[in-house]
Amino acid sequence: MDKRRRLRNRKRRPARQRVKRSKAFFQCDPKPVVSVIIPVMNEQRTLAGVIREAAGVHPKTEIIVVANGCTDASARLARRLGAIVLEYKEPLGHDVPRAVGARHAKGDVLLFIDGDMVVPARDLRPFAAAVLSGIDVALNDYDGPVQSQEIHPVVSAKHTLNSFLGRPDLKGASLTAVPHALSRHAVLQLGYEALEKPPLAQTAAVLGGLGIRVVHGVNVGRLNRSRIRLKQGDLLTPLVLGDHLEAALLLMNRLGPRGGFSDLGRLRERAR
Amino acid sequence: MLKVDVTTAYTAGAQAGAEMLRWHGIMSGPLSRSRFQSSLTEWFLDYTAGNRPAYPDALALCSAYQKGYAVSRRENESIYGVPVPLASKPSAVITACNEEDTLGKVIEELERLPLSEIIVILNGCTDNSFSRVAWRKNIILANFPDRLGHDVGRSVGAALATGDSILFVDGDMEVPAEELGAFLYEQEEGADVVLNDISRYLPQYDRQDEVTRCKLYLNQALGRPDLRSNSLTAVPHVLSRRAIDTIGTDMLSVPPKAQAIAMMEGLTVAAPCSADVISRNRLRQGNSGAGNSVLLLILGDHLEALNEAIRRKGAKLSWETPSRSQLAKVRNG
Repeated sequence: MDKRRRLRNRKRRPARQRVKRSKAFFQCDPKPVVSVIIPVMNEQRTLAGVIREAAGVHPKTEIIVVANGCTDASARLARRLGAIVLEYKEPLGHDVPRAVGARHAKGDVLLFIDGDMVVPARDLRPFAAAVLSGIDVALNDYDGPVQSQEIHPVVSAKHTLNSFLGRPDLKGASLTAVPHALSRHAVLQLGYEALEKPPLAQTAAVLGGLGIRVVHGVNVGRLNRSRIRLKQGDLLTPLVLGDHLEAALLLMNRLGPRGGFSDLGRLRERAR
Repeated sequence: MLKVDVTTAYTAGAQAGAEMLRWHGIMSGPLSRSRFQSSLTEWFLDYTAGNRPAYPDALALCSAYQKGYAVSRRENESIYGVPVPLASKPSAVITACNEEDTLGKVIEELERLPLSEIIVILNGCTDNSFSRVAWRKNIILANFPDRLGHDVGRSVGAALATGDSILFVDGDMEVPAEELGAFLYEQEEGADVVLNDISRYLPQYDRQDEVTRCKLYLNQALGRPDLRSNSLTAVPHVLSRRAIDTIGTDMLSVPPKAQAIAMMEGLTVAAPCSADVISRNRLRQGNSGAGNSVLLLILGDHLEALNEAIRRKGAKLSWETPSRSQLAKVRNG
């Protein structure tokens, strides 16, 4: 073990002690109303806080941690804290574990959050409450950085997909972002696999007539630790853009190449 | 950079004008103008010799040349129009539907440019637009009693045009000829599609309308974020003959689709100059406010453009990526 690694481990120790103190404060409800689904990949630094807040969402809550590709103590920690832990050796990304977690969820409400950022329980409850009041898809009222002219293509794709879907009121809100909550009805209608590609799920939800609403704003841009680190480049962007294009294609396959928009009396046959 | 030496330009113009007067004497207006144009272009190409100045500098030089020339010829310099040094012969296409108030002025601005022809496409006019045009000389006028609908008129006009390039404008938008000249000048610089750069007139993203946003999205999706919200949906713009032939005039009736095809066919698409059409565009019923019918038309056009792109390049266009699990490994590992 080299010196640098030893130093890093020493720094982490206080965090582990805090974890031990907060041990066994939560038990999954056998008949939960809300299932909180948390994809986790090496998030032992934040996970205890995330689970603690998730536990406060509803009196009858189950917490499902989908630990994938973990090389740290995340899974052990989650189990010790009382969460249901589904463990996968391979890294699955963010979206696939959500679908996996959803399959195991027993609640009427499926609330999706991430393991790497602690969102306070008071900011999670509105999502569960909205679904309990009859909304099928409760989205985070977060548009991404839009206070400039230079706009990230992902932010742009989210806004424009909503416009294409006839839902400009959703602005930049997207199933790509957490927190969001789905009703069991929505999940069954969309199918678990659909959750693996959030923009497609969002499109299918609108086309399928599900009730979609932005319910509460959580600035995940600020909470999120810098995910896209410089040395890796922006690898996620092409993936998310591809998903949005597939979503547009889904819309066009259902409603025609113009997505159901009219030609406004354009006499195409007169074009030369 | 070429120094803008207006004195040299003036002197050169004066010499050329004096020579023209000595050899050809008094000429009719149109002939005098066309002689001036060839003299100007010949001098400009020679003087700048492969070192083309930016358009404002070019215009300053050519204005000085024009002044000198006019003085020697003892003519009023205004008969030569705007001295844009063009080697090619562009056409202009104006489309109009009930624009009697502005159409005349739009034509008069175009007449100040060195164009080979001006084509006016009237459609569905119930006002005096026709009589505003019919009496004019040297205008090609096509009048369709029915409304052709959005952008179809441009396709019809393009099919009629014979020029080396086509400048498209609307009958309700009075853009000074000096500004329009920039689009033609930039086309000769090598661009096949010269879009109007409206970036400076746009608010920040969260205050933009859906039309502006979907234009940006299409450019980003096709790998040209630098084009921002600049679009063939907006005029003025110029298409080279190569662009017209590659895209096909019929495609111009769905401008975003034409733009997508231009990009995919490897044409040079650029937005090097800018005319303020935002504040000049008069607000019409149906083109302002959320959920209006033109907005829905344009959203549909952009989906159609994406559809065309996906048909040619596959569902993800060129956004090929590693799998989700490979990505996760890199990101969190």
